[in-house]
Amino acid sequence: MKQGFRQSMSWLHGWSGLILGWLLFAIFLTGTIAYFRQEVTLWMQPELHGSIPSPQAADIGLAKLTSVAPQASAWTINLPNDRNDTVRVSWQTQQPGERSNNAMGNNRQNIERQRGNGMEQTSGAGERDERSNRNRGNPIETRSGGNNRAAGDAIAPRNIGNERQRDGRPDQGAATTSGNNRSGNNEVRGGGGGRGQQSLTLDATTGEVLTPRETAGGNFLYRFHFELYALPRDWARWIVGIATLAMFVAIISGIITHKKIFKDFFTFRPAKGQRSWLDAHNATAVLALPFHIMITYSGLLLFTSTLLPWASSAIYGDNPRAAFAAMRAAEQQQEQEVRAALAKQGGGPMVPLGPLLKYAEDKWKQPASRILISEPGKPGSIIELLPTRNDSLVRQSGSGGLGDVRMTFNAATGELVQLGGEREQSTIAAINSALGSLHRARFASPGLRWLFFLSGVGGTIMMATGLVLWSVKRAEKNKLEKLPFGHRLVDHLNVGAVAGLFVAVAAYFWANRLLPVDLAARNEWEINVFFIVWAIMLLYPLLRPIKKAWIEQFSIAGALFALIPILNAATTSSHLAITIARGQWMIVGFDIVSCVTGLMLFYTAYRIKHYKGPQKAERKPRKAPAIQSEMMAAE
Amino acid sequence: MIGLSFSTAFLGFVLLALAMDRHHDQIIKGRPSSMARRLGTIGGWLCMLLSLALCIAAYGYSIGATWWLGVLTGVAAFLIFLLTYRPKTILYLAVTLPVITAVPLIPLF
Amino acid sequence: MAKDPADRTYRLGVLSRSVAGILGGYALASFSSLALALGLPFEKPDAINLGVMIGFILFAVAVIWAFSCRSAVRAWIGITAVTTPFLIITLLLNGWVS
Repeated sequence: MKQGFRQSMSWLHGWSGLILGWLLFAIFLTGTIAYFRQEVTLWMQPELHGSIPSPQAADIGLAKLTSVAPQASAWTINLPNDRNDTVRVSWQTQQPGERSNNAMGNNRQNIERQRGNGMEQTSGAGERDERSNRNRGNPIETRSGGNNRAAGDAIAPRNIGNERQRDGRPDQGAATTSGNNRSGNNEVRGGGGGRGQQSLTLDATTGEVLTPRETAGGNFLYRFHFELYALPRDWARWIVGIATLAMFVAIISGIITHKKIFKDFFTFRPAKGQRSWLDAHNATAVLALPFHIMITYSGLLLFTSTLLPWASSAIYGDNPRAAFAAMRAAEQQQEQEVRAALAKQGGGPMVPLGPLLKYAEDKWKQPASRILISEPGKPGSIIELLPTRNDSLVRQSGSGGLGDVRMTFNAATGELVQLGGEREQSTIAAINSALGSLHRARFASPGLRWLFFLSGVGGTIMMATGLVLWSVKRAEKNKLEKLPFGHRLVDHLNVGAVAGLFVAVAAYFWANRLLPVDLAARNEWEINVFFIVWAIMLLYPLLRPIKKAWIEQFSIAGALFALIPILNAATTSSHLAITIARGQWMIVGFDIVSCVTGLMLFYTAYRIKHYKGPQKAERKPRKAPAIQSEMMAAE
Repeated sequence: MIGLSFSTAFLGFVLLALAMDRHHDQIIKGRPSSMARRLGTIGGWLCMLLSLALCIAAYGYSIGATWWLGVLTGVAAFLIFLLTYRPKTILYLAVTLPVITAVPLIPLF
Repeated sequence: MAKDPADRTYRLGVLSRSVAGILGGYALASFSSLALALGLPFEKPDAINLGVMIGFILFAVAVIWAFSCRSAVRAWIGITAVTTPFLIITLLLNGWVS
């Protein structure tokens, strides 16, 4: 620090990156997989793989709802789309004594809660339903008639959300969101305590009811990346939040330290020891630099209610939701009036869904993914369609990519109905929404999702190479002495945290296929396998020399990942030959990405094994000033 | 359109790389002349802008800009791979890819 | 090596800077977000959002300042000097001091 500015930044970059680096690596790895969490969950429920999307999916859903829940107060149909191959239907039963008016509002309010939550700083509805990973004791979640929530990103089981509110856990964050947060609803009607919402998953071609296995799915990895596991929620969020702050500092100090990286970040010089690690670290950092900055900063903003709640609580007090409820009251009033006016026009049989869906698709240039029908068959019934994804970042992302946009029809006549106006959004709110959307990438079509995934992989490699680099740099300095304890600890943890986590993730997928299908608390066992394997991998280097431990763990992880397509073929009837023929690219993608990951891990192990250390000729005497500046000069 | 955006971004990065001593030497031996340096830099940035314009044309401003940053990341990763392991193919790809990806767009005009 | 007095000074310096950067930075982030949220003439949700966005950036700037300035004392002085006005604005606007 007595040295120049850049040296002090190099120091800061190294230490802020190291101290929380293992955690950040885990966050990056699981968060990157979480970009495909619906796809991962689908892969983990092979019972759903037989379902092939068909044009009559909407009618299949409607027919099922008509037969099982003719008296329901609200129906929801989730259609197959590019992240889901099944039809999911859910319905709300009207409670005796509950005013019809209330029930009618139910569906909408719940949807709005979901939508608002999507933008909520702390937890989106999408996150909420994955609380199911832990809420296994919840009676609502026991599979009543194939109740499928684990797969159900798109369906936010409201009961679970309500459950959380009844727990008295404050639903934070509403206040820190923009004025267009629609979640400002304190009262939750319907649902709660096992009544209200029920759902079924259907085959999208045959309409048969599907009962998927219990799995923690992609949702476990997703939740882990920001709430870890089995820790009190606030602690976990603080830990991840502090790691995010460290990351933010490390990024800025890293840019300052290595400002020459922009000059030749195309450079990668393999098999040259420290220089190669530095090249790889620089390349992955600069390549996806906009992504790294975005993901870190938006991550901080998403943690506002944990990290910087002061501004919100000074203005809204402890119950921000009440303030928003007031703001929203006028709007609800307007909606109720429209609904009342519709109800007066009288009812009639519902118009066919096909033309409405076609109309929406023509207008939106993308198919509708969700159909909401309130008060089916009764006067005043309306049909609402929601698109598959947002077409703009500044729209609220809501749950499962469903945003602010919707189309409302009178169910008896098929006429378009206007429910309340478009809400204005200020610039600041738009920036905030955009950052939230970018972090979650729910708006992303498959192609863009792959680019997000690729950037995430870049970040994961950046973290791993950074950790290794810390150790390699110091190893070259004190070559002859015995390594100090701190250094050995870092080496040890590097193996378990980097290679070991790959083994644990692979083991998690294997557990999904190999645990008995009817095992009680099966989803929990999948998670247990993950942590048990990881713990073993963390202890493993105690028994083996570091280099051997690296090679062996990468080899194990490589084998487990590379064999996943074979595991899938052996345990299900949806192997690659079938899924490619059927064009089920989500499942194909999982198998192939796993296999490629496995081969790359193998290759890594191979390279470590055959690495002889930097050649004598290449090593130049190093002086105290920053190594990287010398490297630049060396060219 | 997004394909053409990828390939123009690739061409842009190659031009920028050609303007740098080290990469110029990797791709076509020797150092760039000061003229080549200037042309490479300007041409490279123009290609980047064209790539951005194509993304925006395809997906609108906000999501188009997001696409563009993703495209740059993907293309730069590809170029690093080529520079390290297959530097000879770079020039060839930089010329042919934009042509190939432009073909599907002909009916639009 | 750890017994070297210069080394101990160095370690204390690092500790002091860390505290200044992390805790001082957090105080700066908190009070700047509060002061901006209370003081900016926008709609409340916008003011809160902007305050928080700036607060996080100031945190990072504070940490970088703490480790880049010439001495640990300067680190403390700098961060205190920037935090105090935000603190005063917060106190004034929030009615804790009348």
